[in-house]
Amino acid sequence: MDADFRLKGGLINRRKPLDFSFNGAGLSGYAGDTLASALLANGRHFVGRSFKYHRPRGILSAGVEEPNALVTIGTGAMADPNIRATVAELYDGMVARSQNHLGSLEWDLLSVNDAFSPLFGAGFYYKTFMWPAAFWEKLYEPMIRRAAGLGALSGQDDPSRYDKGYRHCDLLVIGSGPAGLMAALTAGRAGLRVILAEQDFIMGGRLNAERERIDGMPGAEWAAKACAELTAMDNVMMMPRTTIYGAYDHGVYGALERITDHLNDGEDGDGGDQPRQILWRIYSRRAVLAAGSIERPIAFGHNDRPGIMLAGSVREYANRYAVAAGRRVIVFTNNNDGWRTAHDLRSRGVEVAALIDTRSDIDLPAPAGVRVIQGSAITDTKGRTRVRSITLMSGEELACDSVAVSGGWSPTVHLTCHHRGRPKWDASIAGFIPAGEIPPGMDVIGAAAGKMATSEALQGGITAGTSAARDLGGKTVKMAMPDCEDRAFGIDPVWHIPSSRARAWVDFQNDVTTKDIRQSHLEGFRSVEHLKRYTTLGMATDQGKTANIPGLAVMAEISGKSMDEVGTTIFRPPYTPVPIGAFAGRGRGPDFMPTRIPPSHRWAEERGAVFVETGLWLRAQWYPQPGETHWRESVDREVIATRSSVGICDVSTLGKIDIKGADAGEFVNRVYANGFAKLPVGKVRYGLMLRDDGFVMDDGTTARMAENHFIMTTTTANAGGVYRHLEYCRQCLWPELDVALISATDQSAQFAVAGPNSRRLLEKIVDDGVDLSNAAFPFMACGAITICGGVEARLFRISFSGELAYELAVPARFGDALARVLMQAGEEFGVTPYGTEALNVMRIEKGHATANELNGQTSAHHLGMGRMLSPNKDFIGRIMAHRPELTRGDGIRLVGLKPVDPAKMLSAGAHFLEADAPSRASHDLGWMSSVAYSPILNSSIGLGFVKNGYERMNSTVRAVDFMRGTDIEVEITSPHFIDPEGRRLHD
Amino acid sequence: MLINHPLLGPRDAAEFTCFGDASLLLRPDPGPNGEPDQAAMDAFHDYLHLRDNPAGTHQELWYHEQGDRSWLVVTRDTINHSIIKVELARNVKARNLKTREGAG
Amino acid sequence: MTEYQLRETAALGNTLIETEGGMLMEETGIALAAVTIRTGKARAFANAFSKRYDCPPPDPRSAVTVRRQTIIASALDQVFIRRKGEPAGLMAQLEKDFSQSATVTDQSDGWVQLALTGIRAGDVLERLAMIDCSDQAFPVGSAARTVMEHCGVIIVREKHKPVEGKRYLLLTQRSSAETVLHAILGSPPFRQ
Repeated sequence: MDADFRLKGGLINRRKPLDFSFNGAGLSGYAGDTLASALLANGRHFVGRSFKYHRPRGILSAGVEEPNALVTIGTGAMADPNIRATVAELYDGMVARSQNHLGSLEWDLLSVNDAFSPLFGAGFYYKTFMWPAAFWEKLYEPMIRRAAGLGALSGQDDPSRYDKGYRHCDLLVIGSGPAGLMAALTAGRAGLRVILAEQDFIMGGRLNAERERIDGMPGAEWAAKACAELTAMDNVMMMPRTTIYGAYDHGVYGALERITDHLNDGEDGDGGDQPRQILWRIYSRRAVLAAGSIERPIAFGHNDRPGIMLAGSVREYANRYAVAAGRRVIVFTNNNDGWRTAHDLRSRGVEVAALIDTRSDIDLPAPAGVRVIQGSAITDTKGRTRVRSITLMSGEELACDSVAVSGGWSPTVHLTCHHRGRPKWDASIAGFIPAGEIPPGMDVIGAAAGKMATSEALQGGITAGTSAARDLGGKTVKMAMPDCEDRAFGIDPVWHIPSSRARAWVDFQNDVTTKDIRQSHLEGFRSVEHLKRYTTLGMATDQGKTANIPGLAVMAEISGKSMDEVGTTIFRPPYTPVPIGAFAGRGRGPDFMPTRIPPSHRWAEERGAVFVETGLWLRAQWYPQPGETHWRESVDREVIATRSSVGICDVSTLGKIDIKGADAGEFVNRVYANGFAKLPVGKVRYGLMLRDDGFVMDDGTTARMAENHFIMTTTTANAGGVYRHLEYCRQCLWPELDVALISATDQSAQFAVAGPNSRRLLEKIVDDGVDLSNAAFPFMACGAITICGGVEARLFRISFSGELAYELAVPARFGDALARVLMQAGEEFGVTPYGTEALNVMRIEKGHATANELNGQTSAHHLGMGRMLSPNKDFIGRIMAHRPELTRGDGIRLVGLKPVDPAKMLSAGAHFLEADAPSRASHDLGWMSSVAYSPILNSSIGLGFVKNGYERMNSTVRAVDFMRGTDIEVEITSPHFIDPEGRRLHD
Repeated sequence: MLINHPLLGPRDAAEFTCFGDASLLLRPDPGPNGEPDQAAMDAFHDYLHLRDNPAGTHQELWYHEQGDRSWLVVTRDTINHSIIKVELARNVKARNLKTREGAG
Repeated sequence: MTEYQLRETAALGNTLIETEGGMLMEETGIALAAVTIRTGKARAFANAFSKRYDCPPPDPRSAVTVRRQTIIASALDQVFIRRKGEPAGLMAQLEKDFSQSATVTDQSDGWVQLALTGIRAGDVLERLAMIDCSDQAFPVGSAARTVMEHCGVIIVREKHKPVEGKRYLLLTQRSSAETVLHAILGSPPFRQ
């Protein structure tokens, strides 16, 4: 049995009944209904409470402009607040609830706010909640947070999956009403790649809401026919349920496609394999905006009661959804369009108690049996949870259960403003039309351009499609102009009824009335930008789609300005709300950024390594042994084992840049501060790289494999930055040099083999003929060798740990195997894998600087490397590195630190102060950059920067850490805690 | 935003990193090796730290980091983002670059 | 003589995933070299290239397959050359061919090579790649170096036998290949 207010016909599918619930009550509708149309079919108008005053509110419209009927749809983690019931496609089992009431919808405890409405006028929050100051945090803010907002989040993680995508086309058509369909047909037949985007779930736009005929058939049928032809074209992509929410630079448009919002996804979002929504970036060469227009209301006393709706929406409910807005409807209009609603309702058998037009002497055919009252207006209404009567200017009261209001239609210009377009006023339609800098390549047609007649829409589509085809190399097609019925457009710009004494609403969602606009003007907030922010008009989730124009018009009237003088605020993307999840796409959790794994990762996992994120890399931090319960146990053991026998560490993550060419040596020489041109073949050298502003950018070791072949290493973190810098030097500064660069970081797996037994270990895996003796392969030597029966490798005798050490590189495909072979071959030496923690302990023990010290704020002199600035060549950074502040003798210097009390632990980030100095920045002597516990020295040790550090050797200062609340005496020492003469390196 | 790469055609700006004013190409003559004189330091200070900030046409350096690794000089209108010209940086002769107002 | 031997490990374990309309396969055993034209030697390089391959070097947006080698325009003045077999053999050949006009660097291990095939292979790229991979804009012989899910990738459209369906070669750096694999398998047709 049909619900009480169902009519015959419509575009709903009566063969598919659907069950849903609203506030726990079980109701039913049909496929093709929205939640709003199904509620109205069941006679439910009262669906929410207003934002400030908690007044009962009903459904105002049938579209995205809906300000009142905001509901929460879904349960559990899928509960989604602030959904406009007017665009929520009904599905079987939908669970919907009203929002913004304390207690039930019917008995909202906060409706008492309405009684205090004089206190909640425009800008009230600028004048209240100020005293006493302490109450703000304790009382006012929590109170406001409870009262503010509309819906509530579920509080659970969003279980839905969102995706992103990229589409390309010649022509993007935005809107599938008569204008958009003709544009798409024209361009499609001409062979252009067309995307037709429509925010609704069926194509056809306004044709689905009206009874007009095109080419002798109902408009909706004509639209369906056009869509069938478009769907069959390979070069046309139809995108229903897709909102074009933003016009970006160079023909790029943002689009949100809703894939599963109209399907029942249950509580967990497990409805299927598809993403919930896809955020598309559409690259178009041209675009056609055929977005139609949005009706606006008229402000009169108590115009916000449930049952008072937009007239065009009332007839859309009747024609498309077969729903009567009431049993006794009154139509109130200032223009010709309102008359269509009266006619359509009568033709469907709905009683129209009166048709009230603010204008006089209107000569339009009146619908049969309808009382027409011209030159009048509604000044007040009655009814608490449903309108039950209206009062005319004359004082006469008329009973009704629904009022259909038409204040005129505003072209949907929003996208034209996304490039700072400023619409201009067109008095003939009493609306703003696109003007100023509209996005390049965009044509605006139909009602969106202020051309309100159907024939203008159709013709506009043909013209736009033809011009696009011509400009973009499409075929020439002849398009026949379809037959259609035009209606005369006439409007009297009446925005509000001054004789209304009661409050008259302009912005329903933010509860802004004409009184608020007057108050704003009175207090000096008269510009459109101030009006908006002071009253919050147009700032709600509907962004004032039904409120902006009437609000501006009232302000214009009060100020005595023209609409053009008042202007509009700037519309910005998104046109309608886009979930943050859609912007995130796949970028959640571990998928937020790529993960880079070094070649020995699987092997490290097998060994139970604990991993750390170093930028994008996952690196083994330490390798716990069974029985170890604390990371210090593991790290201490790794350090001791390496320094007493041999350890291996995967260092593949360091950047490697392969440099070749006749000018390779010259190039390397120009980018490093120290000399490289004369580096012999077969040798490696530490290189210090500066930025051109004189600060240290990076360091590394660079090996000369052949006369014209260098391999440069960088720190892990700076690999990308250094490569970019080198390409900048090569292409922009010195394009005449014969040098080629390529990144080789992933090409090789590289292991550090360090410790007194490192040579012995390597001797077991290198091939015959490879001489690793100290004479043949001294400290800082390098060369190409083969290992394990012919595998090509490179060996570098460099040491980060300070022990006798090498780094061995093989093609990455052998990295996993090499880790295992090194462990096997090293078993007799008790070989120990070590991770980044032990690596760090050992380099601090040796006094080697890393990213902590090379933080972009330190200079060569600060690091104790002033003598590396070559006097014999120009290099990047030479000039500015000599700035007095960076070279001054009493500047900060890199030193070692030890706690005076060996039981104390140093902390990185602590700042140094004299013993008796006050703890203030003006007395700051420097800071601790790195700390570690040295199991060799049995003490916490650190590296840091101290003013005049070298003069202060062996003296003590305080290391103060305000974050951790420590204040320790520390001794300033050499940063080379172990083997300061470097004897082990040369073993 | 799209950058019309001279060899590769239009590419999304997301493939690039922007490094600001193309005057970075006009590295001053550093003078003799060793410690620099005040004139060189002043010239480098200007080169590194002083920038015009025009509302209008701006020549800037873009690096095609996620593409062919080329450095480009892009002439772009900072008001409406229209891109007037895109060239390979290595092809841009120093004298074709608009020098900074007042720069030597 | 050392007793130890090193076996090879494929970056993605020689993965092969098939679904309706699409297949993804890691290709191993294919050598890859970066050949960079030396400054001022473009003509010499073009001559040497024609001598070896009987055709001019590929334009910036394309790739050519000739003599069982695929040559891909990869960067300014640089091509990648692919050939089945051991890297050493390819490097030796290229160093000989281009000794005067270009520098040659082995990149066989720095990149993972993936073959993406099937009628719906293009659906993957529609979700992940910002460039236009349609038949009109990216026909067989097209190549582009771009980014997918923050990872650099080289995409080549290759001829597919049988004729139905498309074939794309994807090259991406080894260390983040699992991220790229995960992204591809999270896209249609592998996942709706």
